Amino acid sequence: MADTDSFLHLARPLGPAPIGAQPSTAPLSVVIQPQAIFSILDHSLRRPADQERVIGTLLGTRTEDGTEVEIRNCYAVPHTETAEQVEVDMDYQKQMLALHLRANPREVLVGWYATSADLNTFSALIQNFYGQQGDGTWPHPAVHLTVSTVPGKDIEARTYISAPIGVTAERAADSCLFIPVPYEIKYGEAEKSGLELISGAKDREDRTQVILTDIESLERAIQQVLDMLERVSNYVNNVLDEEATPSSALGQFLMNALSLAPKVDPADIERDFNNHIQDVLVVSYLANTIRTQIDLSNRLATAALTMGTGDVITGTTGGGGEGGQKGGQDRRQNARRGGQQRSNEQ
Amino acid sequence: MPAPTTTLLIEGTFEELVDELAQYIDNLKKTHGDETSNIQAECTQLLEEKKKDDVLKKLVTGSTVLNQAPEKEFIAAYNLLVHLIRQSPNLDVFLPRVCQNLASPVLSSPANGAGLALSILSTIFNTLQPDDESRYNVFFAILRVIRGSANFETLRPQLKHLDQWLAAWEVEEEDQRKLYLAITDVATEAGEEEQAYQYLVRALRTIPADEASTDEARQLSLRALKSALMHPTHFDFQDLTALDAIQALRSSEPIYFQLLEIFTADLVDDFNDFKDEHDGWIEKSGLDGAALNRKMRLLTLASIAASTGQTRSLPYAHIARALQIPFEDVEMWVIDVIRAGLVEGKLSQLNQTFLIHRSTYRVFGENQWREVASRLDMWRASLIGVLQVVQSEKALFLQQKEAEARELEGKIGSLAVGGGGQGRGMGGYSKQRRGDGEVDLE
Repeated sequence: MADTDSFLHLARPLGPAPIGAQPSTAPLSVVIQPQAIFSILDHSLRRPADQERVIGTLLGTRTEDGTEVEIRNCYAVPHTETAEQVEVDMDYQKQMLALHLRANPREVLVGWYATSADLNTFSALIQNFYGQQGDGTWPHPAVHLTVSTVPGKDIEARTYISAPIGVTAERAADSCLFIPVPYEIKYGEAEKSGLELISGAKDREDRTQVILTDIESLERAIQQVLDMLERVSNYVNNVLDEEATPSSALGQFLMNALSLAPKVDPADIERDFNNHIQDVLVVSYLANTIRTQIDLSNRLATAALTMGTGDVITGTTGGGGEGGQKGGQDRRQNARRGGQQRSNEQ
Repeated sequence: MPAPTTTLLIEGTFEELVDELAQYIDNLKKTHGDETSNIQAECTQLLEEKKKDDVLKKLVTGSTVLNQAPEKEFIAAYNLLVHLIRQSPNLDVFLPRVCQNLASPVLSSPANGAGLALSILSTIFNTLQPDDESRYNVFFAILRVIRGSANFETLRPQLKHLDQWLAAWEVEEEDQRKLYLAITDVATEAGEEEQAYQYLVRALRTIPADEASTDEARQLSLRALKSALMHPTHFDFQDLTALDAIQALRSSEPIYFQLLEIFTADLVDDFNDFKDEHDGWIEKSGLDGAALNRKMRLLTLASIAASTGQTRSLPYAHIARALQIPFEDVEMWVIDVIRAGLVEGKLSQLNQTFLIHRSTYRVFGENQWREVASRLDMWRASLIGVLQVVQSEKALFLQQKEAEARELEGKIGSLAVGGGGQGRGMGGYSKQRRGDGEVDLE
């Protein structure tokens, strides 16, 4: 994503506070989960050709004091926009919201998104709709997320909350001040490596990507670390050759990082490693023994069963068959117990 | 793509909005006992004469009364005012006045007044162009409000952008220094010693070399030096010695400078010599002798820990001697120094030694860089070894797979001749063999 814009966020507008709590103007911050961004981008790709931007509702969680908002989920809301007027399908929005809240009772309505970085008076209208009392986010401010989707340019996201403007009620209804607030897109480790893998396919003709095996990713990771080490030691050598200006903070940091390895005697490591190997071997030996035992007892049981059915053929009724089966089960249990005993002995 | 510049979205012409705001201000004044106010009429007249700036002047003058507006209407009304003055080409004329008004307390809301004012000030700040120098003045007003409301916590997360801002505003070094000092004052009042110190050092950095020996520079340097010495968790004095202004103390305040040098690189012994030489000086200059002693001991321990080299262990006796402390207290001091973050390691009570994992170097010189280089090389060498093992194992695995595939093909060929029953027997045999292999491993 793009660099953060230069702005200052010190206080959010004073909103009505829940009963018993002081209204607060503590600043607010937004956390965005990547899956929300993905579905916004997807929505933008599927928009009607004649529509500049599309909008949708953001869902997520909010801390009790309202200072941290997390956007987790979103869905599209159809709307039409012309030069004179804007129309949002309110019924659709209401129903979708109700359904979503039923499926995810922990999430709440936090705001709305638009797939264009522009703000205009329609934005103000929609913002006031989302922030209103009743169906909106009131008493908390609604969060507005803009994701620019201009082809060929970097995707930029911005988050805003709003404050009222104007001294008369009619004026305030269709206008507002957007206050930029800081946001952060949170990736998990798993999401990041998954994305890296997928994005590896974008440069290939056939748009496919083989999933790496463990050993291959280990190899790749080692290569990466080696590259980084190369860069660092280049810098250090330059410092030693007096070509780069030394930074003692950087040096101290490197020294700390390099000292992270605990001080252990090589002999200790060897001893511990050998002990560990022996443990592993014993466990795998035991596991094998038990598996053999189970295999054996299973075979014995099925053998008894065939004998049992053999009895049925010679005998009179199904009772004999039952007996045979029972015998088989008993025998199987015995065999298993024997196996356990043996493993206990070892 | 830059951020949208207009975040104030309101419909209506300038004249309409002026009229509404003027009426609002008049009403507000009347409810507070000022019956004579008639800004609305004056504005209408001025508007007819097309004197936009005069209209705005009237409004801004009248806006002092907004501080008495009810909490809920305060932001809305002020935002409208900000929107209006943004239309004027002479924005700079009005801003100082508005900032001044906002810096005075909001009468209607004693609890949230500062928050309200901050919210308007940050709106003004944000609606100005990022490289507009007026932002500097607005930021100063913000600092004043923050200081008045003891609200440093709110500001702190934003300070990381400060360098970027200063670069964009292209302010003079002297103004930068003023700003840094103002932040230092705010931080000191909020009890954030570390932050205060950081900005004090930054302020010192803005002093050019040829002004390093002026009286102002001397005062500042002394202040920074004292707070560095007295700060309980500040142990790095190298950043100070690198400054021109501090170097100038060498001639103007030789005793202070001597003390600084001792704290930068020397040991407890040198500090004791210093105390003998300047008897009573520490108390006279308002420094806390006990705190200095303690700090010096911690630094000394860090130094001797760093000088152990490859053995990376220190006998208790050695520590006790270097720190001039009783033998029983060694462990306490080591724990203190670990807590201060100067050294990491573990105490071995059995062998009466301290095993060091990591230690801070007080002076990071060429030897230390060499050490870093050699450790990097070692790490790289071992990693290359690991990589080779991985690669050869992978190659081996591929070879085996190929061999197996060939074997299988051969078998299928023979099976086609031999028939089914034999094949099963072969399978059983190979399984048996695998079992044998596992037993062999043990």
